[in-house]
Amino acid sequence: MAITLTCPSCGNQITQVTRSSQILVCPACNTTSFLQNGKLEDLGKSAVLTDTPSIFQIGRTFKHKDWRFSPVGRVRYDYGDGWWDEWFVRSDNGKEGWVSVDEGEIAIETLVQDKLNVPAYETLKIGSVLNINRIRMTVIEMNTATMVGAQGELPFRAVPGEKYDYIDLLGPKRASFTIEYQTGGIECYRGVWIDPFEISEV
Amino acid sequence: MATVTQPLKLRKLSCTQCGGSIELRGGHNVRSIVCQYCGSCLDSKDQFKLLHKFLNQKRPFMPIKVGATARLRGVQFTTIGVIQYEQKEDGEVYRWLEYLLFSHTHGYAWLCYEDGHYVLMHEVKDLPETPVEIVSPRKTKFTVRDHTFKVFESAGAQISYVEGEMTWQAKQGEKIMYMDGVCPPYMYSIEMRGQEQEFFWGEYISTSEISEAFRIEDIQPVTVFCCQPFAANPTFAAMSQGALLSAGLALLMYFFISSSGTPVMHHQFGNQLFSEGETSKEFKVDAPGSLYGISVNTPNLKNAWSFFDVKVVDQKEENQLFNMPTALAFYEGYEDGEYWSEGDTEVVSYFRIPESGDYKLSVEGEGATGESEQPAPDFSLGNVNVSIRKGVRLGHYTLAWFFTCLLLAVPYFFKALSFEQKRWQDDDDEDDD
Repeated sequence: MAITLTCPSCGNQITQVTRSSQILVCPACNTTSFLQNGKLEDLGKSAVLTDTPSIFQIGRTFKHKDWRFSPVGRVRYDYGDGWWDEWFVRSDNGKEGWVSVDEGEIAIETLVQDKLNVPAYETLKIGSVLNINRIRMTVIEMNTATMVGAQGELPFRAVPGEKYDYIDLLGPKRASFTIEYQTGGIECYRGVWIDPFEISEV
Repeated sequence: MATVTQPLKLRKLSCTQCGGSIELRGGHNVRSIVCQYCGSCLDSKDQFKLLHKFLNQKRPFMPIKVGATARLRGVQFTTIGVIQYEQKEDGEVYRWLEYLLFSHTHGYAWLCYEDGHYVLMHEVKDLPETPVEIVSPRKTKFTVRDHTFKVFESAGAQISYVEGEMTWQAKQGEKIMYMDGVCPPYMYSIEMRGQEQEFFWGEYISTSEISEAFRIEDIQPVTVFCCQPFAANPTFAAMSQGALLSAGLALLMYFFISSSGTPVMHHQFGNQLFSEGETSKEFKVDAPGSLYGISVNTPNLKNAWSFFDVKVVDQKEENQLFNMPTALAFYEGYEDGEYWSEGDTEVVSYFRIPESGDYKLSVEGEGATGESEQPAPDFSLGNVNVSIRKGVRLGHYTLAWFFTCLLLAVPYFFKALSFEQKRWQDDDDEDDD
């Protein structure tokens, strides 16, 4: 059931679909708030996400093969030479995941719940091979991400300016794996690289 | 917390070397820009500093200009750069263009232009599911995305012209190795640049589609391109495929309908047949009006001809119902060490008898060996086997239907075959050499 919230910064009314803990960005003043226990907590101003055309849009439904999903929020990260968007998406069955988009390079990933032992960031380099759950995966990117902006519904308390190191890996059959070295601990995401030409709006 | 704002992106600048106008149309993954006026390669990630220069570049003929926009496969693209590659083989120089296209929604793609043909390619992370090397013999098969590709070409090439934005720092004379696999209209390429290997998925696009999308003149190519699909007139194709299907059905029906019947009588005639004639044992006709087959078999007929006057007579040999003149000839020999033969030792004729009853065959024969046209008085064949079968169904109409349909389908499939031969012509020429 939808709930109506008031932006703590400008008083704008924000209608939200779910009551779960999440980041909300006020469409009126761009203030980032954290929704918890039905209340909004002001986290400050979020970056204005450049209004460039994107393959996804919040509130619309997309399809990749048999998988239907709707983006509900996004975070933009800067990696020095450019940026990418992490779209927080919800499937028809309510399952949540992430779709990262960097100018046509797209990966669908979900958080790995099992605890995995992964090497320290400093011990890896581009081309390093890791065996993850007995699957050989190659490091194809290593960098530091800085959160620059957010929009819509997000499942965690992300603060603009936060930084973390990450590595992207590629395995057989387009398998993708991302390791994020966050201050709070290491998070791993497993998924698959997909072809943007295989995505269509429903 | 302070407001974080994203900087406005520079979209136009003057070349830091010659002052020429440069427009920026690509995304943040663009690494360098080559000035079309002076060939300076500028670093788009470091204040457009000069990286190097492309010297004495000769601008090739370009049907599409950098900056042109088009909607291809439902995606809006802008042409942001172009590269000309050249490949030298047996003293010949082959050149082609690769346009770098950018889309805000789908990223980067390459529109390859060669010999008037276009292929839209984009980088993928799909590796071949069956092993294939970048250097593989032509027609080696491999699978990607459940499509079976055949290696068309494994070769090397080098850059001979660059203009506009690129996603890496292209260099003059830079060499690449590549392998192109084809599964029309798709193409799958493995490209090796330095130590980096990339994989591309492509699809052939007709010049008409390109011409409409880019609003340029539609010049139809005269050659067959490696991943060009065979595109016949749809009505012609549908009719031909329908005709082939009908031919298949007709053949199937023929096998269902036709029957050689069941044996009714077998009689072996001796030499008397040639001297004074001979009458067979009786045979019963219990299916009046149905088709009967009579086969005359002469196993000893060699380099000779024979003629039989086969009469169907009643049981008492008083009335002749009809006669069936039957001629047979069989010749064989060796010429220049090779065996040859012509003619047959067996012939089948058909008849219908309107009334049930018991009947006989009365047969008189004559013949001669060699090339003599006159019957030889002492001619004989040892024995002549005559068999009668009832319930014969010929299915001639279905067979005629089969051949007619096949004849209608042939031109289309002949064209398709000829198209396929042209696709692989170079390869076949090499094989001939």
